[in-house]
Amino acid sequence: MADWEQVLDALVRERGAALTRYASLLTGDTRDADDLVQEALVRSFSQGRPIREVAAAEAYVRRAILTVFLDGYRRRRRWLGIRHLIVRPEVTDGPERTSPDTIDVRAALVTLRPRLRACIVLRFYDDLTVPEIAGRLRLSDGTVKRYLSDGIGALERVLGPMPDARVDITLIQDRNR
Amino acid sequence: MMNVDLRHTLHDVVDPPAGHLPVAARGMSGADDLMVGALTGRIRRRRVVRTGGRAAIGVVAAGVLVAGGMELAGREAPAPADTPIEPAINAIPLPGVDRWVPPLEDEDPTMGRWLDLGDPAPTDLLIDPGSVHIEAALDTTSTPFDATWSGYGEPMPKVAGTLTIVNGTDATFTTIVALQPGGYLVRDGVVVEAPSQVTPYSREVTLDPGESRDLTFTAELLGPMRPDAGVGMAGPGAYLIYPSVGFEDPVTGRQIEVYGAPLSFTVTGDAPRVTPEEQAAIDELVALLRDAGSADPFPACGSLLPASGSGPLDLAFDLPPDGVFGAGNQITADVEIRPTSGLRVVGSIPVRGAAIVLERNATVVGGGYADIDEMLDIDLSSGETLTLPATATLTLCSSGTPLPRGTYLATVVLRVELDEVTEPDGTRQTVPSSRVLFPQTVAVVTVE
Repeated sequence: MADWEQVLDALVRERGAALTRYASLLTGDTRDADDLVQEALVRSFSQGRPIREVAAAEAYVRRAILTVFLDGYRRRRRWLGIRHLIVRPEVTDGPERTSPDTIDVRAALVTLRPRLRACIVLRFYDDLTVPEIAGRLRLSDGTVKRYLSDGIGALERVLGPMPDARVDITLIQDRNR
Repeated sequence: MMNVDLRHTLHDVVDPPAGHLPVAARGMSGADDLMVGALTGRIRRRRVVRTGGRAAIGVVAAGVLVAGGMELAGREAPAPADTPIEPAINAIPLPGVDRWVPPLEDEDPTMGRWLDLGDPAPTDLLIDPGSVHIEAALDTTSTPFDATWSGYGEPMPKVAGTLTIVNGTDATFTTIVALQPGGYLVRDGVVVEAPSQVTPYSREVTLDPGESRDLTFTAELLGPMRPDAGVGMAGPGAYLIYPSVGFEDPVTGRQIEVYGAPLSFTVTGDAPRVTPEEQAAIDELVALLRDAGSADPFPACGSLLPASGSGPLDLAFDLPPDGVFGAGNQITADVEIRPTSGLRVVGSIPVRGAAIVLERNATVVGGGYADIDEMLDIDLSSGETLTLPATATLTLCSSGTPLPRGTYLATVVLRVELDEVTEPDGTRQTVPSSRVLFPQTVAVVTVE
């Protein structure tokens, strides 16, 4: 078995479920998240790059998940091909027992436009800075800041006040003034 | 309501605390075996293809280098085969405009000046077979050129034909056919109808030396339509049509217009007739709507058609050519949007797509958006297009009352929430603004 096959095997078994849950933050739907993860795995391991550690592979695949997700609506140029992407799927619990908070947050995330959702996940899960998010999404820093602010505002309308997130956004904006 | 710690909650979603994980998620499962097996197979195939592809490209590249070297040895000054060239004659450069990009702010776009209504007909046509030029012929199977339009309720006659772009030079010619091919109608030496100036067409054409490409062109036999005149049929008489097409340099974005030698045709019969009662009823209705809604923003019912709806996105739409519909029926069109030359546009548009508005005397009398709900992200780079649906019901605004029998102008509108526009040089601008875009193109919709 080649090195990459061993890493793939370990990654799917040890972190496959976590990758799917991460993808579901973006898609809002477990089935779409499964497809997203599989496509990201194929893209990542088809490159021929040496991937020898599970942790590095996970980071690489997570990045590919975002790319595949964003490409999904960027590259479909017929309306019927993209309409389903904005239909609000119901958030369904996986086999895990989830707390009300996580259900609410996942449901609220689904109400955001995909690009705002991506910004929120990259900032508050991946802990990326604004310039890093802007680089990933090929946007300006100003647009990313606006997306974060709009995204938090929309989430607060559903979930109630999120003072920590507000402080985080304010700090980002102050730091960049 | 408790405060939600977003960062903590997101991490809990992805990596739930150990006690929240089901047994199946903690170790190996049969599903994992199947998934790993399927993924491994897909990845192996891709890796094989990629490796083989790289080897094949290497062989081809080496062959090209050898062939190129042999060819260079036999020629003193080879012309690059893919260098775009400009048509040598019968081309009208746009004065002072080297790139056709409407400004982002709401101001009059400087599009350059093309032939306009009332201008004298072109007199400098010198068709040189050794240039890039166009040749045209009228389509004898199209709507009769000796046309009579009996009045509202009849299909509007059109002149149609074939326009051929000919590369008579000895170099490859690459261009974007930027505007829908059309034609200038000339009567008594004066332009009486001009093709739309900004109808996006955007078809890239590459012609080798001696090669040609056929396109169709149409021109409606209309009198002036914009900005606030009613629809009128070109009167009886002898006409010339100068077929024309807009070329865009795919590298610089500069646009030029090229037109061919004129073709003649006549219009016979009477001027259009409409009963005075019908005309008066429609005009009165339009006046009432305008009084009620002229202060509302376009495209609200009764609002006035703005002079320009240009922005970083171009719109093109296609309605059936005859344009005759039953009152109260629904009309639909495919709308193609694409960034104006060289731009990348990030923003959002309504999920339901574009809307069709119906106008009369520059006043909105039907169609438009009833309301806007969900928006969809778009991210279009230069050259990319997105095709959307647009619909409208032929009723008076949203009243449900069928539109009176008569002729109306239809165009599409698209509400856009702009987030960011990237210039061709890579400069990104955050442009938080909501705007309504619409093309200069209109279609004639006859309601009966």
